[in-house]
Amino acid sequence: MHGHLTVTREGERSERPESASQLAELLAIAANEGNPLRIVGGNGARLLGNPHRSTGWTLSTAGINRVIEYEPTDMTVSVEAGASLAEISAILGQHRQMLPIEAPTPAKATIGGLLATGLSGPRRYGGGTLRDVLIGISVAYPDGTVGKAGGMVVKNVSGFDMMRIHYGAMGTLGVIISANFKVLPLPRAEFTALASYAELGTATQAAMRLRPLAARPIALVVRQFESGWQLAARYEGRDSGLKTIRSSLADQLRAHSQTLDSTESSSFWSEFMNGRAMDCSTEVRLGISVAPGSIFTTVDKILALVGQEFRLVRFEVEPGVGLVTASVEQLSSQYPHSLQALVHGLRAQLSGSVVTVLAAPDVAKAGLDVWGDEPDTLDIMRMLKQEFDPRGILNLGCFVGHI
Amino acid sequence: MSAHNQLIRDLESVVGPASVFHNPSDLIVYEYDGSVEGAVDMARPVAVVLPTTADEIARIVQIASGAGLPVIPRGAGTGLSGGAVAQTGGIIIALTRMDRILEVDYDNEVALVEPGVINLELSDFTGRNGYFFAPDPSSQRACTIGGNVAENSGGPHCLKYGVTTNHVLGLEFVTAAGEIKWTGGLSSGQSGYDLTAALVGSEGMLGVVTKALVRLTPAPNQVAVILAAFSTIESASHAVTAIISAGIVPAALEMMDALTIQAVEPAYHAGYPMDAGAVLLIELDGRAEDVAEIEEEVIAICEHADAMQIRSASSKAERDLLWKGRKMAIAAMGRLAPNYYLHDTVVPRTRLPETMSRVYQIGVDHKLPIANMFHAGDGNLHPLMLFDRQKKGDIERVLEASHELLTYCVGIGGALTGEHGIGTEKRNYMTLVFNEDDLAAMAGVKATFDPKGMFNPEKAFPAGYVCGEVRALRAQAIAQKHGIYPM
Repeated sequence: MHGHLTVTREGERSERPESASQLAELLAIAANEGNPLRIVGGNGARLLGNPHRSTGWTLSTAGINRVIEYEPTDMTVSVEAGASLAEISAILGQHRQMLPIEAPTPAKATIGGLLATGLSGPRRYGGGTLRDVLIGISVAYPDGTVGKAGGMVVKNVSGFDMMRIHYGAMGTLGVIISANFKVLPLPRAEFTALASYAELGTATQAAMRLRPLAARPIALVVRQFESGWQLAARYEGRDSGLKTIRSSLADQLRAHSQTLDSTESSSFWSEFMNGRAMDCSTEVRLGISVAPGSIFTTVDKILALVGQEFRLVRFEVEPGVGLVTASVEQLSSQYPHSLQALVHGLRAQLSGSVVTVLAAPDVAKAGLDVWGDEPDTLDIMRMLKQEFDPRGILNLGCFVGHI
Repeated sequence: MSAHNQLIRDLESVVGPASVFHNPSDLIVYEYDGSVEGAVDMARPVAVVLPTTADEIARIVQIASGAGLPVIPRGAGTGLSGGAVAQTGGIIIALTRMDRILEVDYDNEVALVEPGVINLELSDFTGRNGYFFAPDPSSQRACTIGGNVAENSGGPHCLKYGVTTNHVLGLEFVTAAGEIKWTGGLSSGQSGYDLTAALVGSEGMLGVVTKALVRLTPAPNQVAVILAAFSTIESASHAVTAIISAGIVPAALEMMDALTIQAVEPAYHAGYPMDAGAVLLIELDGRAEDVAEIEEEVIAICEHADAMQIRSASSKAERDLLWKGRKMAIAAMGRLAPNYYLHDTVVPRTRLPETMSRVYQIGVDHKLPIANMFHAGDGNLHPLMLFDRQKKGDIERVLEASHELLTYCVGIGGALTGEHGIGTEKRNYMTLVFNEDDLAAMAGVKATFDPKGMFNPEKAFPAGYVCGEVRALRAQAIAQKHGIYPM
């Protein structure tokens, strides 16, 4: 057998191939045997998705982790899927470059996992995500082949966008082997403004005042903090421009505020993201996304609905993006009925929004599709799955519509 | 009644006789697009239909499917790779009458538009409220949003702002089964596979787009335009590399060479020095203080790269004039020759200087003047080969030179196309870049959306590639290799 074969307790079987061709071969074998696999990167997102119909085989991408090519003057990089974000950020950082992505535990989060889950952080507001800078990809399919698309240049319209077909696809159409990115320059300077408010409404209003372009932050969060609400706005740019913004902020914030500079500022956001680690088994986390323009009018309603029956342990609003990340304390004594009721209730009351269960144990998810309402094109999505994974071996059952 | 007449009757019953063209004299203008004859063949459709609603399109698709005819979506016909030409006949669905901006939502910074809306008209409309649609191809006065979606269009400002796929949030489209479906939407948490991205850049091969929900970009506070002239293309290219690797992201970074300047300057008097080997047009935008600071840095970089002249525009009128030379450059080419072939290749930015040398060498070797005006910041070249179709041997030399150019660019790590798409023009070059497995994965997407292969056939894939039999044989071979027997 290829790779490292270990048998863990509970009879689970784990494979850790060391190359793309080994991985592809393993997929073909699993397909032949009809064994649904669980594909794993850093496993940081294991509580995301509908319950897998796995036979207990795990396939890890961690052994496929090289930097294939990095040309700083070209501002492009090609990385294998098992490389961690921390490792890649360090390498790019040496040349004052970066990828636009934040993860709760960068040392654990793999590039492949970040692409497959499509998760990102508040900096997406002004800074974009990996989806925006993805210029090439290589994917292993269950028929044992490896298909690439795109290339190493920043403009490319040769053939279909196979890169984004796999983005956010939870590895259900193929296993990402490597990806090519356009890298961005690290900002010359940054600061973060923090302000405190007693009411969510006032905090969100202040956040909305920061939206006009001249003073638009790259990340903007309003969160439940201590006994009130905290607004955090991150600014990047050059010193002179940032100075001007700083001077007008007090007017906009109208609250007790402080500013964090450079390393303090970036540490603040690292800690914020750390707090979003998804392996905590005591909270059930939801993502509620609405049109950004209506966040101000919806946020109080969301707060009331989520906190109605269960203790709210997290409530973070990203007004610019239109996203609420909320967690309630474990509802275990009433699983799965309690989570179903909460989610269905939210979906019914918040029409036009997408309510996703971001993290919860499998036992809580029975009777639920964690991904929100059925997309109009679900039939096409099922056909895509059938086309690329006819034996159903790739993270079977975890995706939208239990694909 | 003949099958043909029945078809015309059926189409007329959907959109009315005034919206169905089927007489040869009416079809002539639809036999070609913006591509070069010889590189792309002209071809006549059976009929051209001009619908005004998605429902009409759904019914047309059903009629076409029932009659076993292909469907070719078409916007303004400005495409350069033959994407809107009906290579195997069939029905062209022209989207030009679906030209309404349906809704603009400034609060959410989006617009809902029909596919026939002209690119620049959308930006002009939203410009009144301080917004624009960022993808700005040179053809933007004529090309449509639907066409931009089909080709994943770029333009000079995509260096900073991204290409069409970065600005499309959702699409309504008609499927091969004649159903109207939506993909994507306004809120960020869309679930499922990114079928919006699958459709963008799919060259009309997966469905007919009937509405686009697009992102609007707020206009920047401050804009600066710098013209830097260099005595050689090489020094200009080095300046480009230096600017990009300094971590500066200009809003646009364009280059024009001496031959281009010869045509453009007498035509528009934009102020390009006639003795320059190349000029760079650098646009910076953002917050006022940032722009001022970055401008100083860029000027310093250009000086260090031995610029012979550097000028900053001091008014909007001056900025527009500097841009006019670039935006109207192709139009000025008629001063130099009666015909041209505009290429579209991409190379890594660090390989730009050697690529430009090679481009000139190809011109010398094939006795063809080649003018260059392009998105240097992206490494997206647009060598423009000048010729006279009436002169014996010219078009042959152009096609040979084109082959050499494409092969070279791919060889140094570049792409076949940065903006114009593959179409018919480059379909047979796909195997230079992609192997069978790569193409099979793309064919899988095509087969999913369009099992009968009715949407824009004979495009993008090499000849014979998406044929059902070929795919079945391949699947069998692979299965046997792994000992898997297809279910």
